[in-house]
Amino acid sequence: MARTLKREYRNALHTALVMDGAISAMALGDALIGGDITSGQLLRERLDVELRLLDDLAWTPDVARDHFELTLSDDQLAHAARRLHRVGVDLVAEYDATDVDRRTAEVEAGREVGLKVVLLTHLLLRDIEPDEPVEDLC
Amino acid sequence: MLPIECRIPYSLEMKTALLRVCVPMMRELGEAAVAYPEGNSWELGGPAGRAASAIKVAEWVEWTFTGYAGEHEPVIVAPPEELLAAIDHLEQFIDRRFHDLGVKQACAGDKRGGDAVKVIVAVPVEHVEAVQQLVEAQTVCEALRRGVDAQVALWTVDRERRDQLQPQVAEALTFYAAELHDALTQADSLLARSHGESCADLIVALDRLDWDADDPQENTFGVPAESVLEQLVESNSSTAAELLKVLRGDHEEED
Repeated sequence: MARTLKREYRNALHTALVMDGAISAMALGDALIGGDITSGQLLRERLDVELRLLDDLAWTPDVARDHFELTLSDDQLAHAARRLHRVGVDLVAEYDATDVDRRTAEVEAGREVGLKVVLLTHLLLRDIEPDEPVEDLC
Repeated sequence: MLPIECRIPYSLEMKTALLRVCVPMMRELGEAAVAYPEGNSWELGGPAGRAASAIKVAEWVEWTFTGYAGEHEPVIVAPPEELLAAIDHLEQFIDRRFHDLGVKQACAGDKRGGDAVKVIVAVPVEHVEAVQQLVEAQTVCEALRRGVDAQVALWTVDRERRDQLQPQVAEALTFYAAELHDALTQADSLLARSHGESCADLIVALDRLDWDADDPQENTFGVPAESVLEQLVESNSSTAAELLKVLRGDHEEED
C-alpha cells in the first residue's frame, strides 16, 4: 500500500529535502570537478532519490493539497529517510546549541521542522526496516 | 544493458499474427492450472512465464484483433530486453505447438559455422491452416527481433565517440548541479524543478556512458537521450550533432 503524508509533515519534509538536495547537488558538482568517481556515484544515487521525492512532495513549497502519496520504492525511501533523519537531528541540535537569547524565529522554526522530520523519518524507517536501529533519535 | 525503450512500428497483419499466438499462450496457463491444481513452479512456471509475455505483447499491440485502438501510429514501445524475452517465449510456444500438431521439422545447418535453421518438412493435412498461422507469427517474431537489434545498434556508441561525449556530459552535469543548488537555496522552485530535470537526464546519460572517464567498466555504451544531445549541440558538440542526426534518421534522407 502506498504511503501518504499529511500536509503538515510534508511541509517539514519538504523544507529538509530542499536543504539536503542543495547540498547533494553542490557535492555532486564538486565530485565531478575533482574526478572522484566513487563519491560521484554515491551522490548520484542520493540526488536522484531526492529529486524523485521532490516530485512526490511537489516542488513548490505551498501546494493546495492535503495529502501527498510517496511513490518511491522501499529501498529509495529508506535511503532518503536516513539522510533526512540526519538533517532533522542537525536542525534540533542547532537550536539546542544556540544561546536562549539568540534563538531567532528562524531557529525556532528550524527546531519545529527538525522535530517533525525526525519523528516522521523514524516512523518511516521503522515501517520499512523494522529490524534496523535508527541512529540519533532525539 | 541499455536503459532505453525501442519503438517498433507494426502493421495490422503483424498484430493479428501475434494475437493469434498470444491468446492460446494465456490459455495454456489456465489449462496448466486446471491440470495441476497444486502445481509447483516446475509445472506452472513455464506456462506462467509465457502467459506473462503474451499479456505484455497483447498490451503492446493494444489487444483488439480488428483495427487499432488508438488514433496514433501503431508502434510497440518497450524496453529491448523485455521485448526480446517476450519474443523468446512466443517462439518457444510456437515450437511446442508445431510439435503438438505433428509438424516435422529438420535442421538446415550452415556447414561453415553459421546457426542451424529449422525448416518445416511435413505438415498433417488437417492442421495446415493452424500451421500457416504459426509460421506467420514466427515470421513476425523474426522481424521484431531484427527491428530490436537494429535499434539497439543505433543506440550504441563506440568507445571513441563515448570518450568524446563523456567529459561533455560530466561538464554539463556539473553546471546544472550548481544551478540546481542555487535555485534550491534561493527557494526558486520552478527553476529548481527545471534544473532538477536536466540533472536527472544527465545522470542517466552518464550512467550510459560510464562515470569513469578513463577506465569504463563496459565495452558498449548507450546513446544519451535526445534532450541531452540537444543540450550538448548547443555547447558545440559535433559528436552529439552527428548522433542526433543518426537518431532522427536524417542520414537516410541525405543518402
